[in-house]
Parts: sequence; C-alpha cells; structure tokens
Amino acid sequence: MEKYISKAEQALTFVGAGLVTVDIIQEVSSEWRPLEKPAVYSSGGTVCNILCHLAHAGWNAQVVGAVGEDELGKVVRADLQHFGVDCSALLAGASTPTRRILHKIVSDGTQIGKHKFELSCPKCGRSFLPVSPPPFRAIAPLVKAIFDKGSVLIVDRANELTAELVDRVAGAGGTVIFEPGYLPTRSTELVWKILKRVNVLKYSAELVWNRQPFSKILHQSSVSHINVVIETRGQHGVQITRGNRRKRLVAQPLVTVRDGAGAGDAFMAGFLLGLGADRLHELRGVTDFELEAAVGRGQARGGLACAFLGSKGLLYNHTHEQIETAVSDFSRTLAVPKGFGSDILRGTPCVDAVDPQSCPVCRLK
Amino acid sequence: MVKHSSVTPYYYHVQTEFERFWSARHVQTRRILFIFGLGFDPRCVPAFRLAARVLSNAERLNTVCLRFKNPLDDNLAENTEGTHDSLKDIDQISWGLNAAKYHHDHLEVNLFDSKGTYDGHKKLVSDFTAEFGNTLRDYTDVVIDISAFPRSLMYALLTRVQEQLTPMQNLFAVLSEVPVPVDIREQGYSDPHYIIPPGSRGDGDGGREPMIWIPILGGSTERLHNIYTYLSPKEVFPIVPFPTQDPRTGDHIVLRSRKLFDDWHVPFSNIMYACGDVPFDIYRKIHDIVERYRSFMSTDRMVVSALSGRSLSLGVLLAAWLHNLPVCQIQPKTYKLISPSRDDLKRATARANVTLYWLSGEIYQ
Repeated sequence: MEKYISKAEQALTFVGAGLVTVDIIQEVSSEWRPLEKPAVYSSGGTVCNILCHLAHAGWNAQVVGAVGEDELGKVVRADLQHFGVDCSALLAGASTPTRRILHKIVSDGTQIGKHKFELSCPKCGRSFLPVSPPPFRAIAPLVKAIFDKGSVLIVDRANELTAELVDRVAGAGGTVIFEPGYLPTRSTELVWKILKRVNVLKYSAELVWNRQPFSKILHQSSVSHINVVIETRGQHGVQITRGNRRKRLVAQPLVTVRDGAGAGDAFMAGFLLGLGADRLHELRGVTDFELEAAVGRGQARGGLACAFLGSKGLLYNHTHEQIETAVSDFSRTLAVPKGFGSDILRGTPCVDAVDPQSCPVCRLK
Repeated sequence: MVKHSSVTPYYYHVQTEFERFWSARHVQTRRILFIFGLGFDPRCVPAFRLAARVLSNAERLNTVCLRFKNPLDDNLAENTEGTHDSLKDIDQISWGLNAAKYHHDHLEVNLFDSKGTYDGHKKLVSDFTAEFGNTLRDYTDVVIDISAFPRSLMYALLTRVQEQLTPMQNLFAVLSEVPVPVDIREQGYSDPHYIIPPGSRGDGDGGREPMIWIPILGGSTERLHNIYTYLSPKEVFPIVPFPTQDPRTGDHIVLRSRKLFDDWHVPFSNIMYACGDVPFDIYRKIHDIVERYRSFMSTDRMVVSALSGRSLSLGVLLAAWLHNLPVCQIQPKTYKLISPSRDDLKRATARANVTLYWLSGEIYQ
C-alpha cells in the first residue's frame, strides 16, 4: 500500500546524530544464559531506532555518524536502509570496528520480558569499544541541506559533533530534540550548550548526571525556553512539562511484555508522528490537548513495541498502516489488540559468510 | 490517628457559596491548593472555572487535575469523548492563569491493575503523597472539588489530606450541583473494600468482624447486596435520603431495597431518614447510632458505606472521621450518563450552584 504523506511532512527532514550501534540480540533464560538460538543483528541506539520508525512511516529521515568498515557496519547500513533511512551521512571508518551492544532478552523461564544491555561478547568475552563521532567538518558537506527551518534534529549524545549540529539547525530556525541516554561527566559545557537550544527534551527519570538525578538539576536550572520537557518513568508513565504546567500520564498496564527495550524510542516516534509536521514547527502554539493526544499515540506505539522481541520487532513485523490501526485500537481500548505481537526474533542478516577467524557472535577478529 | 479537635463538626461546618466565602477571606494572603477530578461529567468544570476567577489573586495558587483511567469501562469510547471535552475546557481555563505564582498539575491514576483488580484509591493516595506530601504544609488552604470524583477516591484523598494537614490548615470540599436531575447508571462492580480500614484511625485492633453496618442508600441494590455479603454484619441501620428534591426518591429507594431488608431481617424501626441535601443531617443520624452503641461496642465494629450522592457522602465521611468508623465502599466499573444528554448537562453547568464545605482547619480551633 502506498503511504500518504502530506506536503508539510514532505518538506520535513528528520536528522539523527549520536549513538549509532549494531545491536547483537540474544535470547536468554531467566538466569541470563544464552538459549540455543543464533544471535540476531539490527541497527541500534535511540536515534537510529527513532529514525527507523519515522522512515517506516514514510517521513524523510537521515542518520549522521560513523560505523566501521566491517561486516556489522554493513548490517547497520542495510538495516537502516531497509526502513528507508538515508545513510549518505553515515561515514565508514577503517580504523575502528562498528560500535556493538549486546541486547539480552529473557524469553524462557519465569522472568520473560526482562532485558539488559552489555558491552562485551557472551562468546569470546571481548569488550565492545566506543566509537568516536566523526568531526563536524567531515560530515558538513553531506548535511548542508539540513540547516534550515524545515529540519528536525534528534540527538541522543552530547559531543562536539552533536553540539555543532544543534547550533547550526537551531540557528537556521529548525527544531531540536534532545533525548540523552547518557550524559558525560566531563565536557559538561557541551550538555549546557545543547540544552540552551533545545525545543523538545526527553529523558528517563533514572538518568543521572554528575551523581545527581538529571531531573533535579533541570528543576534547579533556567530551562523555561524548552517548549516541551518529557520525563519517562517506565511503568509509571510519563511526565510532560511546559512552563508552569505539568502533566503526569500513566502507562497502561500491559498483560504481555516480551521485551521492553526500544519502547521509549517507539514512544518518541509515535509522539512525533502524532504531533505531525505542522505542529512540530509551531510548538508554542500546540494546545495541551494536542500534546496529550500525541503523547497518547506515543504511549500506544511504545506499548505495542513491547509485544515483540528486539527494539524494532514492531517494525519488522508490520506495515505502518497496520501499526497505526493498532495504535488507534490501543488508544481506544487501552490494551494491545488481541493476537498482536510475536515470539519470533527478527533482524537483518549478515550477508558475508562467517570468517573462521572471527567470533561467530560479535564477528570481531 | 485523629490529630484534630474532637468538637462535633455539626455546628461548625460552613456550607456556603464558593464565591461569597472567598471574597471575604483576603485571597491575596492565601496559599491555595485546588484539587479537582476530571471525568466525562461536565460538572467537573464549574468549580474550577470559578476558582480561576476568584482565587487567581491568591499569594500562591496550585491547581491539580486528577484523572482516572479505566480500561474495564464498557462505555469507554463515549466516556473518553466526554472526558476529552471536559479536558478542553479545563485546558482553556488553566491557560488563562499564567501568573508566576500559578502552577498547574495534571495527575493520571489507573483505577485497575493489569489483572483487573481495583486498587485506584490506594494508587491515588500513594501518587498524590509522592507528589505533594512534602509540600502540603506550605498551603494555608486545600480545596478539593468532589463533583466528578468516584466516592472511593474522594474518600481516600480527603482522608489522607485531612491526616496530613496541621490543625490550622483549612480543608474544604466543593460540590457543583446543577438544577436538573442527573441519572448516571453504574454497572459491574469491583470487590468491596475498606477505604478507611477498621482500627486505622482510632482505637480498636481492627481484627474483629463488623457488628453494625450503616449504609446510606441510593443507586443500585447490587452494591448494597455485595457489601452486605462482604461484611456479614449482625445488624443493619439503613439511612434513606428524605426529604429530597424529588419527594418520591425515598419511597423508590425503600421499595427497591425491601426484598434485601426482608432477607436480612432488618426491622422497620432500624430504617432512618436524613435530609438528602444536607450532609450534616446524615452526620447527625450516624452520630446518634454511634452514641447509642458506643457503650458496649468499639467504633471500629460499626461500618459505614455511602451509596448515595456526593453531598450525603460527605456527611458519612465526617462521621467516620469524628468517630473513627471504618468505611467500606465498592467501585463501579462502568458509568453511563442516561439523562439528560451530555450537551444538556453541560449547558446546565452554566447555572451550577457551587457549594463549599469546610471540613477541618482554623474554624475548629
């Protein structure tokens, strides 16, 4: 089915920068021991996940960052392109391997639905090293077009690259969304530089910065210029703050949770899709009711995402139209539609044969 | 524990018009917390609208909108539409209050957990306490609009707030009543539960069976039957609202309940009448029963239940507070507005009579 995209949505480009990873997804027992099932690979990181949701819905989405010139770097690229994300600003560097993250999901035993992330291989034990973001000058020629008011920049890390991008996009009248999953204890000035220009801020209530809850730091700071502040609180729902107004909305209790990873990213994508292109550029004019409706769409998409294995299981299994129908059903009945969800873990296959000198799980040589 | 004066409230409670009362109280010197419930019933709006006008000059004004989510509601679509309509009105009013001293909070509470078990009143109290427990003492006045509150939730919240306030802090309830009869049908009930458990506020060990049950009649007899089965009291003292606006209401209630009274061997002399519009009359009737039995039975064995309208329910709560009586309630799963139509009811709210009930505070000292 052809997706209907409005003119406003066509004029909009979402650009994401920050953590670009390959998720090595492993089903495990309640004791966190791998099951006799092969690991599955998928692009990962908050920004990549959100872009995949948006591109899957037919919106323009482009990723900025770097991967290695290795087998899993190709997987990341193929996975993003599968959903329609533009990878022309995703640089390939030969010097470092693609950033890897192990995503364990309990799919057997008593703790089904729990998950955790690790930074080492369960097979060979090697650590997964971070990848430095490319310098701004390396990607500037590739992303010039995004420095205008039709751009929405999503960043999930505070570094030299993202701070520069934020500055450029905000300076051009675009919209900036900051969703930090981690905040550096050094270079705090970069965080403040980004916060000063942000339109939408989303963070987890559990986020800690310099040994203090981020929410507390925020509360004591002058950030009233931020149009919308979203604090996610896991099963307790979400809090939205706009100036002197605060809304705390509950999450609907879910009967079946196969994997909660990626629910927050699905929430953000659902929120943006629910808000729509026109309102994204007029955030000050958005009414509380419109905002709440968008949050409701986000919560529904996040709830649906929990019915699948992997951060993007929802996207692998359904078309955008099917998801939107399910989101509407969820919003109406406050429950995941019957029969919706899957126990089958899906991802993007490695095209290359396993190098005998590589680890069969993390593919590091 | 009851911390307040044990002076009977009958002579001291003020039942007056909201606007007249506040205009004489130097609002600009008051720090006011105004709490109201949001629902499909448009009667949740008039008191807030009035508060926005009358209390906007307060030294500090914090308004809190409490909203209850119920996926088990068989009339969910219609009720959600009504709630959204009320919410638009609420948003519009609160946007008009943008002084620096004003703050608006919106708190959602799930009435049922994922297994369909009712625990809304406990969630409300814990969420409210987590959010406002530490700051309650900063206010001179706490005003709770009960016009759209389910009884269990209204009782739980009023009781918790009353317990937390100091004797010189004022607690008020507000009720908006319209000049047309309103018929809201309830169906499907949770298991009966104690809102104020035996022994939780005063003497008694709380471990013994109830001896006396004092239900204030109204609404469906299914609730009456279910609570009776749960409590298995030795004696029942039903209170019938009479006189009421419709002089036949009392007769209808007695006729509907008669078979149950026969089955339970309730002597006709046990049935009492109390004015349907004056909560303090209900208080006095309960007080009389308690005084009659107090000499040979601890008050934690005398249970009250309000199955009547909200105004009378306040009288029940006052009696429970003053005499440390347990309160047993039952929560409907579905509400359906039968008459008038929602549009007509909304129009009628323009002529609503907003009454203030002074429940505790400086007037007692």
